[in-house]
Amino acid sequence: MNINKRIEIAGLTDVGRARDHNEDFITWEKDLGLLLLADGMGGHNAGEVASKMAVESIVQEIKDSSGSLGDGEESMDEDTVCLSMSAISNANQSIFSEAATKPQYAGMGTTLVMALFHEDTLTIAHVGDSRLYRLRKGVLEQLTVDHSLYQEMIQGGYMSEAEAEKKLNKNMITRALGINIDVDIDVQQQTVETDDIILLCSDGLTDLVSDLEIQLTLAKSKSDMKTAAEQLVAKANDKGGIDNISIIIARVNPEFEKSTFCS
Amino acid sequence: MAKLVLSSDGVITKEFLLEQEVFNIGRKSQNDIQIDDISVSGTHARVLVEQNFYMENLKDVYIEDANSTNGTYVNGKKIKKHMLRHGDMIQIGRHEFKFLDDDAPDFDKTVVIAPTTENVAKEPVPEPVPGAAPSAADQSEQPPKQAVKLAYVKVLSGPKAGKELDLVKSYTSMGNAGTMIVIAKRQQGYFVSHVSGKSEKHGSFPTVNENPIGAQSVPLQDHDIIDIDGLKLEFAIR
Repeated sequence: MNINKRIEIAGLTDVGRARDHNEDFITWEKDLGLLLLADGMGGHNAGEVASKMAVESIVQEIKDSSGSLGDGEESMDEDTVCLSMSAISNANQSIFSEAATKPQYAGMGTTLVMALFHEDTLTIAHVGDSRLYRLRKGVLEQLTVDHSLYQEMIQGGYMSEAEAEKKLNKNMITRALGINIDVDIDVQQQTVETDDIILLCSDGLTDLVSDLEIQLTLAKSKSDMKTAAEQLVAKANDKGGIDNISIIIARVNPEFEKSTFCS
Repeated sequence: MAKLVLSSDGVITKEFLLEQEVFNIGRKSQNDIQIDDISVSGTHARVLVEQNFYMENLKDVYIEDANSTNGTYVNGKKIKKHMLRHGDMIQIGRHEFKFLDDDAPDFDKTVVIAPTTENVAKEPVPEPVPGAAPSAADQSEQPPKQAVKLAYVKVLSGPKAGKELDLVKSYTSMGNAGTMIVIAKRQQGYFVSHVSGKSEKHGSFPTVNENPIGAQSVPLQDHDIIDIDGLKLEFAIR
């Protein structure tokens, strides 16, 4: 059965308490099992343009091609990986050429995190420091690794976490869409289990709200995804809301009884 | 240009532009910044100006205590070595320096520090000469724009050994025993990355010439050998 019928999704984007406009952009397409979150950057309104362009162009490409998934020689999983990467890479090129040709958009860019459910697989792709977490059996796990200088210095063994905390600003990201003609995209695939909760979020949440707080909020949310999203945004705002805060939460509901499901 | 502004008891007395890579601060006369005061050690601290690894137009400025008697403080905290940020207040003995950096980016905002490669789209487009219709010869001389040579992978092991696959698409994925890779065709050539998989055995990282493919994609060179959990492939240019 199509897993997308079992997914319940809620999302919220909030300007926060310090910024005067929201450069984040989120969307989801339940029928495609597709969730997208982008955190734009750039002067004036360029950040908003970049994040919106990224999300809308990816949705369009996946909509156009999802019908032909698994038609060729490659497996469904392989096809999904290529489709995701190609959609993101095309979005990158659109933003890049827009930034290169229109002075008001010079230097704009955006992070991106994407989740695509198909059958029992979740394909996750990301660029930048927007994250994807999974809550499974009460335990929260960050599945994406930030493309930030902070993260790369620690992972590469150049600095201890304490040292990086002291010396580096967390807002320096090493990859983004729209900055270069090509982009290095991280993709992974995970098996989906019933009751998994998937969280996509911008750094406006994670800079202020700890993983533990996120875990507790999601764990006690039961099936009310909308309330959980509202609670997380409120927590970030209570701590200053220094950046735009965006959240998408998806929950994999138990399968319906076979007898009640008619295909 | 970053600078230190010296004040004594709240009065600005001097400004020092940080034009060198190392500045010694101390009581003795050989220091770059000499403070003739008993509360300051002979050689008290040094300021180091280093090129930021990622951004050409950004300098990292550190202050380091040189085992002084009374210590070096930044914003009231005793430090051994500290990366200075715009507005930091340094205390040396009874004297205070304010660190000011005009070039400092707005650190509240996200910045991308990706090392930029060739900016293909920004290359100036040659102006067409008025009246001159492009001849067929002119066009044939122009190399196709941003052409990446066609490459292929050849299977070296397993039941499909000898099979060749042209890398015509922007992204081509290949898998074996739950391990998956993707080869991306980009302006600068071909890059392979690892798609961490759901049914992957622990530690079965794909490799290029026996080096595991890590967090970043790896550029492929002619005749590189890719190993996907025992399935060997050769990458080659046509």
